[in-house]
Amino acid sequence: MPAPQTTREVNTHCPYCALQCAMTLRIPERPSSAETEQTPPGITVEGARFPTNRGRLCRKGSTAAELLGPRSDRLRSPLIAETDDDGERSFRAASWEEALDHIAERLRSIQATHGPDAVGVFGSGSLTNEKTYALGKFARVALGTSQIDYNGRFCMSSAAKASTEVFGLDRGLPFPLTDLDAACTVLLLGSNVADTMPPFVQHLEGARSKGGLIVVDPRRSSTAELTADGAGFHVAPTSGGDLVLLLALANVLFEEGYTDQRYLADRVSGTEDFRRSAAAWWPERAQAATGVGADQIRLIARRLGSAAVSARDGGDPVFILTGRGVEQHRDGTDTARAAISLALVLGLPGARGGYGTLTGQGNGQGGREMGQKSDQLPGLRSISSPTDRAHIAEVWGVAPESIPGPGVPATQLLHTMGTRTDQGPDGIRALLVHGSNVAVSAPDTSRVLKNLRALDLLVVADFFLSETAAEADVVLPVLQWAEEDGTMTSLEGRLLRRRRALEPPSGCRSELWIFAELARRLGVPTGFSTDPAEVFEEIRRATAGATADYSAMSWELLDAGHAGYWPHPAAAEPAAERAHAAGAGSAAGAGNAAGPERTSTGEPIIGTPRMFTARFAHADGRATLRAIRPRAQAAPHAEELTFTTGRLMEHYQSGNQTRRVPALDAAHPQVTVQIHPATARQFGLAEDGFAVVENAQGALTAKVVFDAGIRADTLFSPFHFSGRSAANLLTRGLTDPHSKMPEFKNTPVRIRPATSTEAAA
Amino acid sequence: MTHPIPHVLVLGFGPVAARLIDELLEEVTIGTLRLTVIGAETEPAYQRIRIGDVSVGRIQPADLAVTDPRALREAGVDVRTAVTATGIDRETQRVTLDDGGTLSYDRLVLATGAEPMTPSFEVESRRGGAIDAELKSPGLPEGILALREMGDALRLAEVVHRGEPVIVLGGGVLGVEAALAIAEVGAPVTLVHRGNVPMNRQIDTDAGMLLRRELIRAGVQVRAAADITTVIAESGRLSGVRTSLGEKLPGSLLVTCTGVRARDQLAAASGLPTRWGVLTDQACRSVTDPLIYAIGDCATVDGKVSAGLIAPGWEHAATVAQALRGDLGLEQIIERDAAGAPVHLTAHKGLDVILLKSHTLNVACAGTTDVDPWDPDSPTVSTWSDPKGGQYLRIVSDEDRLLGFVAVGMPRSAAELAMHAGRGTIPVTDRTALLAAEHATREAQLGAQDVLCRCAGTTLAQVQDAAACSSTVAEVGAACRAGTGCGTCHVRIEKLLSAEARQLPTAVHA
Repeated sequence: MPAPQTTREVNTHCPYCALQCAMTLRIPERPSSAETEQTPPGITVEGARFPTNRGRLCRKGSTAAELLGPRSDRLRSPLIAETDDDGERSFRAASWEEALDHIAERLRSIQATHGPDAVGVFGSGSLTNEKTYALGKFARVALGTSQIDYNGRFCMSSAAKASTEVFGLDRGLPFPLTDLDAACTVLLLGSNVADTMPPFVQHLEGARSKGGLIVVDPRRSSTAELTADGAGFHVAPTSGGDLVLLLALANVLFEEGYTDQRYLADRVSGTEDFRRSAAAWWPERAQAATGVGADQIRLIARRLGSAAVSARDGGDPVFILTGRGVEQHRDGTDTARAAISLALVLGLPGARGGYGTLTGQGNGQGGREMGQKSDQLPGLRSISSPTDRAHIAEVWGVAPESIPGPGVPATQLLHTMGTRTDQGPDGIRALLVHGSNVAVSAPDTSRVLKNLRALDLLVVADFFLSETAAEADVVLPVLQWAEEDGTMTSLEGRLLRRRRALEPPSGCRSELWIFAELARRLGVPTGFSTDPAEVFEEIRRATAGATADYSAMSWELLDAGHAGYWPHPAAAEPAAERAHAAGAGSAAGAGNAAGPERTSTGEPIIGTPRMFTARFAHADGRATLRAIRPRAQAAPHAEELTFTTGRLMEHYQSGNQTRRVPALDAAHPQVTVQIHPATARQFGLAEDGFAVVENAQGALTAKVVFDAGIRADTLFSPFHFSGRSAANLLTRGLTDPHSKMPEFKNTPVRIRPATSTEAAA
Repeated sequence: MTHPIPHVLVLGFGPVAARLIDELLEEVTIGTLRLTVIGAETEPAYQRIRIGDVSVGRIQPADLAVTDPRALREAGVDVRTAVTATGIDRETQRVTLDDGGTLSYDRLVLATGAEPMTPSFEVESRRGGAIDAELKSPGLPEGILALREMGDALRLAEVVHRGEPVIVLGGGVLGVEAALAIAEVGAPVTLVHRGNVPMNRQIDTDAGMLLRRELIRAGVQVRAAADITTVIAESGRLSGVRTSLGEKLPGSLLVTCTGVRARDQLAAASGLPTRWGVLTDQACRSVTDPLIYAIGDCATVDGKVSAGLIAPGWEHAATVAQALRGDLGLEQIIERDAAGAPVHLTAHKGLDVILLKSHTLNVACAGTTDVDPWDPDSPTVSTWSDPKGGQYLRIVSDEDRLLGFVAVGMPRSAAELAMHAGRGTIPVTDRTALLAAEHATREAQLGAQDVLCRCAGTTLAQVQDAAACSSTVAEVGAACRAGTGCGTCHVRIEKLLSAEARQLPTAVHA
C-alpha cells in the first residue's frame, strides 16, 4: 500500500506573459526514491487571489505545470554539436566542465582575433530580473563586449522610447492595472488581450458596462468582439494607418474644444507643435490613409473627449492603451508617442486615467530595465551617461572607462552577425543566447538562420531544444520557472517573487552559475554571485537613485506580502519603510494612522503605484509634446495584400513551451492564415485548404481560415510556428528609426493556393 | 577655406512651403543651409483647404496654423510676411521684392499657389430700392468674395453669424463644401451652378442627382444649370443677384467658387515655360532652369496640372527637399534595413482623391466614374444606388487598376475606396463585401421609445421634445439630461436639433 500522499503548496506566478497571474502549485510529496523518469509529477496548478488575475488563469497558465518534472524532451545535459564525415550534424552529451571549457576557449580565441565586440549576447524578457542583470554585467565585465541586446527590442522598445521621450521614463502601466476597473472609456489600440492575456479582460468590464470600450484592430479579434452589443466600438484601420488615426482624433479634440487647457498649460510643453502637426490630419483626409470613415473618427474623438471632460468634473477615468499591433511598425515610436500625446491633450496621465502600454513578456518590464539593452545600464540608466556609468562602475568594482559603450540593436545584431557589410562594422562572430528563440521570433527568419550558421560559435541556454538551440555549437540546459528563485516585474511595474517549487533535474544549471563559471574561466573570478537573493541586493545598489529605483525593495518585503511598485528609493519614506521592513502588518506604529494603500487583494503597497501625479520625469517636471509627421508607408501594390502577425489564445511567443503541451498543441497544431472570405474567393482559396503567402523574403505555407471580421486587404498569421510555418519568413528587417524595433505588422505579400506538393510538405 | 553656405529662397508661405521648410529645418539649425521664405499674406502658412470651417465659425483661424514663424526664426529661417516678389532675374539669380529689397539665391523654390478666377458680372446699381440711373459704369459692390484667403473666411463668418442670406456660385467641390457648411450652421444659402448637377466634373450624373437632393435636404437652395449674370448693388453693397434663368435672389454676400489658376506670372515673366503652372520635371525642377523648382498649385509637375489638392503639394515639397539635398551637397537621408542595405519604399501613384469636407454629408470620389456600364468596351462598373436611403456607390476598375469611384452617403465605403485610390490598389473584387462593411457598422434606426442617451436613459421621444425648444446640445441636456454623461449621443442630438431647426422629418440613427 502506498503511503498517504501529502501535498506541498507553493505560491508563485505564471511562466508566460506580463500579466504574471498568481498561481498556486500543488506538488505531491513522494519519497525521493520513488521518483523516476516515468513518473508523472502530478503537479497541479490553480489560479490564486491576485489583483491582475483575480484567481483566474488562461489555458496556457492552467496547463503550465505539464512542462515541469521529468520529460523526455527536457534538456538535462550540455550538448556539443559534432559534424561527421558526411557533414551530418548531431549533438553529443558533454559534461559541464567540458562544455564550459570549450566555450571559454572559443570565446577567448574569437575575441583575440576579432576583438571583444566580436562576441554578442542575446537576452530575453522572460528571464528574471536577477538573471537579466547578471547577463548585462557578464557581457560588459566578463566579455567586455558592447554587443548585447534582447528580444524585447522586438516588442517593447518603441513604446519604451515614446514613454521616455514624452513622460521622461518608461513604466508600461504607470498605474495599477486595477485602476482600469473604474474607467468609463478605454481606447485599446492593437492589443488582443482577450486571447493573449485573457484574465485581463476582467479589468475592461467597467468600460464595457458604460459602452466605452473602443478597440482599434484590423481584425474583428476576440477583443474587438467585446465591443459588441453596445459595449463600445470597433474600428478597423488598415495596417500602418494607426498613427494617422491618432493624429486625426487629436485634431478633432483640439478643434472641438475637448482638450484640457489648464492641464496642458500647467504640466505639458510643446502642445502647439503637436497641435499643428495634428491639424494636417482632418478626418476626411485621414480616411484615405486609414480606411476609417470620417464619421467614425469624429464619433470616437467625441466619445473620448466627452469622457475626459466628464472625468475632469469628477467622473470616471479614461485610459488609452497600446499593444504590439500599433507598435511593431516602422513608425511604432511615433505611433506610441501619438497615443501618449492624445492622453495628454485630454489631461489624463497622472490625473484621471492615463496612457499605458501592455507589456507582453513575463518580465518584459524588468527585462527592459536591468541592463541587457544595447544602450542601457541597470535601473533604466543610460550607457552613454557619465554619471550612470560611474555609478554602475562603482557597484561592479570596475573602472568606468572599462564599461563598453552602446552596442547595435537586436535586429541589426542578428541580420549582420556572421557577415561583413559595406555599412558599419563587421557582424559578430559568436553569440550567446539566453531565453530567446530568435530562429522563430526575429524578422526574416531565413536570413537569421543563415547568419546563425555562419557564426564561429553559437551557444544557446534553454530548457527545451528550441529551433535556435538546434543550430547551436553548444547547448546549455538551464532551469525552468518553477525550479528557480527570483523576481519579475509585471506589466504594472510591480515587483513579484518567482519561487522555487521543485528540484531541477540533475544536470540543469542556473544561468547565474553559468555566468560565474564562464567569468572565472575568462579571468574574472569575482563579482558573479550564484545566489539570486545576493544578486537582488546588488540590483538594489545598482538602481539606487536611478529612474527604475528598487533600492528600498527586498525579497523579505515581498515574501511578507507587500506589493512593491518601482520607483521605491531608499531615502523616500524612511519611517514607513522601517515599519514595513520590520514585517509589521500595519504601519500604524510608523505614525501613519490610515496605513498604507492596499491592493484590491489587500497587500500593503510600497513604492510608487501611481506615477506622474505631481510631475513628469523630465527635469522641468513637464511632459514633452512634439510635432509628429507620419512618414511614407510601405503600401502594397495592386496585386498584394497586407500581412500582419500576432498571437493565439493557445500559444506563447515562439511556441517552444506551448507547442509541447498536448492540449494547446491540439487546439492549434499548425500555422493558419486568416483571410476575408471574399478575398479568398478572389484568390481561389478554399476554406481549410492550403495557401502560400509569399514575398521577396520567403514563402509561408499555411492552412486557410475564413474570417469575415478581418479587413479584406489584410492577412493574419500567428507567429508561434517554425520552419516553413514561420510567419517571420515574410517579415523584413525594416526598423523604427528611434527604437530600432522591427516592423512585424505591415508586410506586403501575395497569396495563392498551395500546390498539392506544397500542401503536403 | 570653407564653402559659402548655400541659400534657398522660397516664394510663397502656404502649407506646401511650410512642409518644405520643415523638411529642411534641421539643416538650417545646424548651419549648413540658409533659408528665406517670402509670404504675401500677413498670416504665416495655414491650412488653406480648411478655411471653409473658419467661414462658418466652426474653428478659429489659429486652429489652421501649420507653422510657428517665431520658432522658424529662432531656428535661423529668414521669414518675411506681407512681402511680395515682383521679379526674378535668373541671370544674376536675384529676386526683387515690393518692399524695395532684393534677394539672391542659389536655389529658388516657387510655392506661390493659385489665385481665384473671378467671373465678370453686370452691375445693377440701386439707391433706396430704386435703380440708380445717375451712376455710370459702377464698380462691383462690396460683398463679393472668393473663399481663398483667411480674410475672406472671416468676412463670410460675420455674415453667416448674422444669419443673412449667402449665395454661392460654382458647383465644384469648394462651392458645394461652402454651401453645405453654411447650411449646417443654419444660415440661408443658395448654390448656383452651371452643370445639370453639382460636381459634374468629378462624379457621374446619378451621383450628382443624389448629391443635389442631399444638398436640398441639408437646407441648401440649389439653382442648377444657371449662372449669375448680374449683381445688384444697394448703396454700394451687394443686396442680391440675377441668374441666367431670370430669377432674382436676395443675398448679402456672393461667394464665387469658380475655379483658380496657377499664380505663375512671375515665372512666366522671367522666361520660364508655363502651362497652367510652371512646367517642371518629376523632381519639380523647372524644365529649363535647373536652379528653380516649383511646387504645389503653381506647378505643372511632369505634365500634371494641379487639381488644387493639398496631398500632391506636400509630396512635391518632400521631393524638392530631397532634390535640394542632392544639389547642395547636404546629407542625404537614406533609410537602411537592419542588414545595412538601403530601403526603397516604392511610392505607388494612385488617384487624386476628393473628400468633401462636411459634417452632414459624406461624399468621396476619384478618377472617372462617368462611364456607360452597358458599353461592352467599358471597364468594370459596379453600382449601388438607393436614392431614398441617401446612398450611391460606383466603382470603375479594369483588371488591376481602380479607375475611379464615387461614394455618396456611404462613409465606410468612401474611406476604403479613398484609401485604395490613393495607394493605387483595388478593393476586393466582390464589391458586396464593401456593402457588408457598410452594413456591419451601419447604425440602427431608433424608434421613439428607444433609449437615445444610455447614460441618462433618455428616449428619442424625450430628446425630440426637448430639442423642439432648444438650440444647443447643452440646452437639451439641461432639459432632459440627455448627453450629459459620456457624450456619445451628442452627434445624434445635433442631428435632431438641425432637423428641428428646419422642420424636417426626423430620421435618427443610433
